[in-house]
This record gives sequence, structure tokens and C-alpha cells, in this order.
Amino acid sequence: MIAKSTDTIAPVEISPISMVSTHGSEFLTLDAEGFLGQWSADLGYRNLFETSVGGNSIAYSSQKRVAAVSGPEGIVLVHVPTGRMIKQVRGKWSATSRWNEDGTVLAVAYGKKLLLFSFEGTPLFTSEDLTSTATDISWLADQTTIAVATYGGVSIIDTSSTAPTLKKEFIGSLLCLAVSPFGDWIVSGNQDASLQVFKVKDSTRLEMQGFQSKVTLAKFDASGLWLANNGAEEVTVWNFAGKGPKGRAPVLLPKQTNGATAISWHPTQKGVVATGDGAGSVRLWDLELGVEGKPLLPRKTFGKVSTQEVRCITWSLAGSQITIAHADGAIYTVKF
Amino acid sequence: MAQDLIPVTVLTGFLGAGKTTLLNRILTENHGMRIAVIENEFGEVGIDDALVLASDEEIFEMNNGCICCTVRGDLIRILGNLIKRRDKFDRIIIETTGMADPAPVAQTFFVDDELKAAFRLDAIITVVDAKHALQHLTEVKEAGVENESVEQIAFADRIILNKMDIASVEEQEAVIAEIKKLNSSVQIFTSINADVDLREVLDIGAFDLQRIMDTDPSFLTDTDHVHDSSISSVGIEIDGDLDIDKLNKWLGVLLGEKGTDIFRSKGILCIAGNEERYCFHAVHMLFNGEFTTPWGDAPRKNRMVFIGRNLDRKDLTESFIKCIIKEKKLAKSKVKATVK
Repeated sequence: MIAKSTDTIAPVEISPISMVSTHGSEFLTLDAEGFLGQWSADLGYRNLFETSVGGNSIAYSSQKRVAAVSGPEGIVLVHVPTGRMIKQVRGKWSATSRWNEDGTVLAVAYGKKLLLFSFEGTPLFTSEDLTSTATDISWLADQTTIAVATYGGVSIIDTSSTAPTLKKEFIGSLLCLAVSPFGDWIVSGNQDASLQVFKVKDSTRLEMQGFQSKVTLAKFDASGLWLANNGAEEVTVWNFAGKGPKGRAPVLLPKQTNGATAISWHPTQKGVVATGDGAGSVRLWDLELGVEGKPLLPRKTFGKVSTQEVRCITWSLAGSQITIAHADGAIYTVKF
Repeated sequence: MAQDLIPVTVLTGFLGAGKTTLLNRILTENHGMRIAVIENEFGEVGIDDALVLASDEEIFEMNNGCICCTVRGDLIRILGNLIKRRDKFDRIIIETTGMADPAPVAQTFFVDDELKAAFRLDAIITVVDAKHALQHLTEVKEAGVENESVEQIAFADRIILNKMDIASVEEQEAVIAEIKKLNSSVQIFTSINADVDLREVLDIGAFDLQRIMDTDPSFLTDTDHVHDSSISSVGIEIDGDLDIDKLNKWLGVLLGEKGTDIFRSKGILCIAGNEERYCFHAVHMLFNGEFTTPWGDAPRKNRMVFIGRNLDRKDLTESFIKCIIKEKKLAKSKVKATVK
């Protein structure tokens, strides 16, 4: 995979905190104020919608072309082609939302509850109160059960029944959640500079401690073999083959300045991951090329267009191009 | 650089004391500062163009072996979002609920690296109702139940004694005496309708090691008052140079074993072989200290204050004296320790 060109370097009037690929070379960006914008290498940036809930993250349904903006004061659904607001729920912190596989149902972390909406904004489900404000959510493989991270645990909520919530006790404050593609592993990144791993099949638990700072990013690759997380100057990558990472030394990607601020796996290729750091550098790695006992060399180091923190790295849906956004609004796309 | 950090003021006070009145006054005053407010309830701040975020108090224990190490999960989230729009405001005020414990709020700024790199805790300001506070402060709670109003006084760097117009002279004197019992080093400013000079509320630098001496003229004020409340402050003032290893060990053991009961502590110390003052402050077990300005011609004198529950003046003083290097062992008459 060799970059053909660095297409566009386009500072925009926003400082993006979240970005999703819509189609082709088009992306949606969100800043902390709640400005939802459209960006493409060809057309540049335009404001799409100004929410009144602030900005934490975006989720996008490519099938229904609906964007969900989560923010400090709630959730907003916006029809992207028209910029029309479909639904708004205000009043509680929403860290994130996730669409199901066919893009028709949206799961929303809203205060201490999990909410479900149709793409048309119809409320479908409201959970009981969880132990604290939900920090992350993930659909499980059956597409009806959802894992929700809170302080002290992960709640497994079956949205198709009235069965009581099953809570997996984790320690401390959970900041992010990663569920492997087949739903066999649930991993949390924690405020206490640790990673907690739960094997669904036999309830085995692992805890990886000793990171330098809180773990805010933990992500599985498309195959479910590799999980990468931040929490140190190096990105740590764990091998989840077979019985999982227990007893295996992780792969440490060489140090990045001020720690990893963005981690994004290739949407289809196993073990290919892009990482960005606090000083604006972005590197591409291929875990499949790693040799045991030797430091992994980056497959590509991207030209540095900004010294500001890398906020978002987003692959196009097919994985043929990657778009990188910095805190100062510099956004650029690289095609492969 | 400390001056690049965004200052954060924590506003505490019992229900009805006048926190929101003070907050609205701060926001409407013509000071030219852009202030972001984290309030405990939506809609309390009546200023339309203020950047206001609401929080639901969520106290999280840290999994670091320290039983008193709790943080405010809601503040970590909200401040994390504010970091990403830091060009929109110059300072932050956190308004807590009347029942809030100030410790987790303060400790949040000690334990989260991301927040430490972006913010500096300026001071804890407690608004007190001059007429009605005494009944809250002297209220006897069930065993194991904290008296939040007492803790809010104990943690405060400044007290705004509000509603002076409706309190009798006797009530004013009684509440001031009670406040001084709990926290002898706190500065008290009186007000009617929370009308105070904002210079007494903002940019105090109570957690700024460089400014510990400058900003706290009543630091270690000597009083002879002894009382029977479980919460008190102990001041220690003593000549002599300290053995840094013994001091570290002493503070480590002290805060480790009794950190739950020691709400706040701060001090200016003379370390043997160093020309600079060593300043520190701590909230429960979480400690921050560094060498600051040179002593110059000023007399080298160790001064410390501890505020907390069931403090043992004799034990604190005697164990501290053991940290003085033997060559400069002091005559007992030179030691002055006070309980307030």
C-alpha cells in the first residue's frame, strides 16, 4: 500500500473532534461547539448544521444518510443530503451513538440511559438507569444486544426483551469500549491507566496495568485478531488469537510524541492501522509484517502538515484513501 | 507554563447561601473575561451568552490503592470537552451543589494528566449564609455521616460571608468564630447580596506554590483557641533545616495513613542545602510540592498548616521536629505549635 498522492491540505474554520466517511472522498466533521460540516478533497468544507447540543462525536448511517451528533447537552439526528434536523433530545450528556449494521437503528448513550431511535427519529427503546453516565456503547453480533460502558462495569442490554440488564463488573471508570467483531471479547480502556478484558464465553477476566495515563482509545481491527490502545507514548497492540492476549507480550509501536491521539484500523485489511500523535505525526503500520522480538517499522510516515494534535483519522469506506484532521483544522486526504 | 493554564474557581456553599447570586454577579460584571460555567443544575445561571455546561455529580473512586482518592467523573468529561474549545473562554467556574464534597472536585485536578496539562485550580470559594450557617455547622449528624457544610468550610481558601444585612451582630460574630475554629487560615470577606470585589474571588492562586505565602496573610495566624470539634486546623511554625529524606518519609507515612482525615495541608519549608523555599499543598493524600523562591535575607522558618478531622497536634509537631537535621536541633523554647 503506497500513497499515490497527498491530495489536499485545507485548513478550515473549525477544530474537528470527530469525523466519519460518508461516501467516496466526502466526510462529515464535528467540532466541540457542535458544528456539523461536510468536507471533501474536491469541494473543501461547508457548514451543514449547527447543533445546540455541542459536540462529542458523530455516527453516520450510509444506508439512510443520517448523521447522529452526540454532545454535552444531548443528541441530534440530521438528514445529510438536506441538512434537515430529524430529531433532537436535549438535557443529558451524550458521549456517543452507534448505528446498527443496516443503518436503520441508532443506539445512543444518553446520560445514564441507553436509547434507541429509528433513522426517522422514532424512539424505540429506553433502558433503565445505569450506574453512571454511559461513556461508550457497542452493538454485539446479534444486532439486538448492546454493551454499554459506565463506571464500574459493562451493562449487556438485550433491547428485544424486557430481560434485566446483565452487568459485568469492571473496576473503576471506563472511558472506552471495544467489542471484537464476533462478540467474544469485551475490552475497556480506563481512567485508572489500565485495560480490562472480558472473555464472554467463559467470563475470563484480564487486566493490563502500568500504562502511563488513562486509556481513551481501544480498537479492534476488522478481523478481531488485533486490538490497539493508547495510554502511553507507544501504541500497544495485543494479539487476541485463540485464548487471547494472556501470556503474550504486546507489540509496542515505536514512541509517538505526546502519545497517540488517534487510532484507526483499515476497514478490511487485517492488521493495518494508522496512528496519529499529539505533535501532528501520522504513521501507518502493518502488524502482519511484524517479526517477533524486533521493533515494528512503520509502513508509511505521512508528510507532516501540522504540528497540532491529530484529532481524527478516517478511512474511506473501501479503504482506498485516508483522511487526517488536526486540532488546528488542517485536513488532508491521501489516496492509495 | 503555569500562566498558560486555564484557571478554575470552585464555588461551594450550602443551599441558599448565595452561590448562584455570586455566580450571576461575576458573569455580569464588566471585567472583560470570558467565563465558562459548569453548574450543577440546568438553568440556574441566568446569563444568556454565558458558556454554561450542566453536570450531574458522579464521584468515582480511583483504583490506585488510596481510599480517599475520589474524583468527579462528570467534571473529567466536561472539562475534557472544554479543552477542545479553549479559545472560547478565559477561565472556568465550577458551581457545586450545596451538598457536594469539595475533595473530589479538587482531586480531579491532581489525578487526571490531561486536565493537569490544561487547567490550574485557582481556589475553593465557599459562600456562607451569615444568618443561618451556624445551625448547619453545629448540626450533629449520625455516626459516619459527614456534615457537608463543615467540610465546605474546612476546604475553603476564601469565605464569602453573605447576607450580612439580615444577620445580627451576635450571629455574625458567632459564625465567624465557628469558621475560624474549623479553618483558622481562611480569609473571610463579608457581603450583602453576594456583592464582593471580584479581585477577592478570582485569581487567588491558592494552589499556586509560588503564591502560597503572598496570598495568604493569615496563614498560620497564631491563636490560642482550642475547641472540641472533630474538625480543626493545626499550625506548626518551627526554625531549622529539614532533612529531605526524613521529610519525604514523614509526609508519605502521614498522608498515607491519615490522608483520609487530613482534608488539606500546605506549607513553606526550609530544606537543608537549598536556598529556595520548598512549598507544598495537598488535598487528602494527593501532594504537590516544589522549590520556589530563594529565602534571601528572610529568616528561614518552616510553616505548615493541616486542616482535618481528629488532628493530633502533639503527634504532628513532634513527628515533624524529627525531620529537622540534628546539627541544628532546636531548643524546645523555639518551637511554636498552635491548634486552632
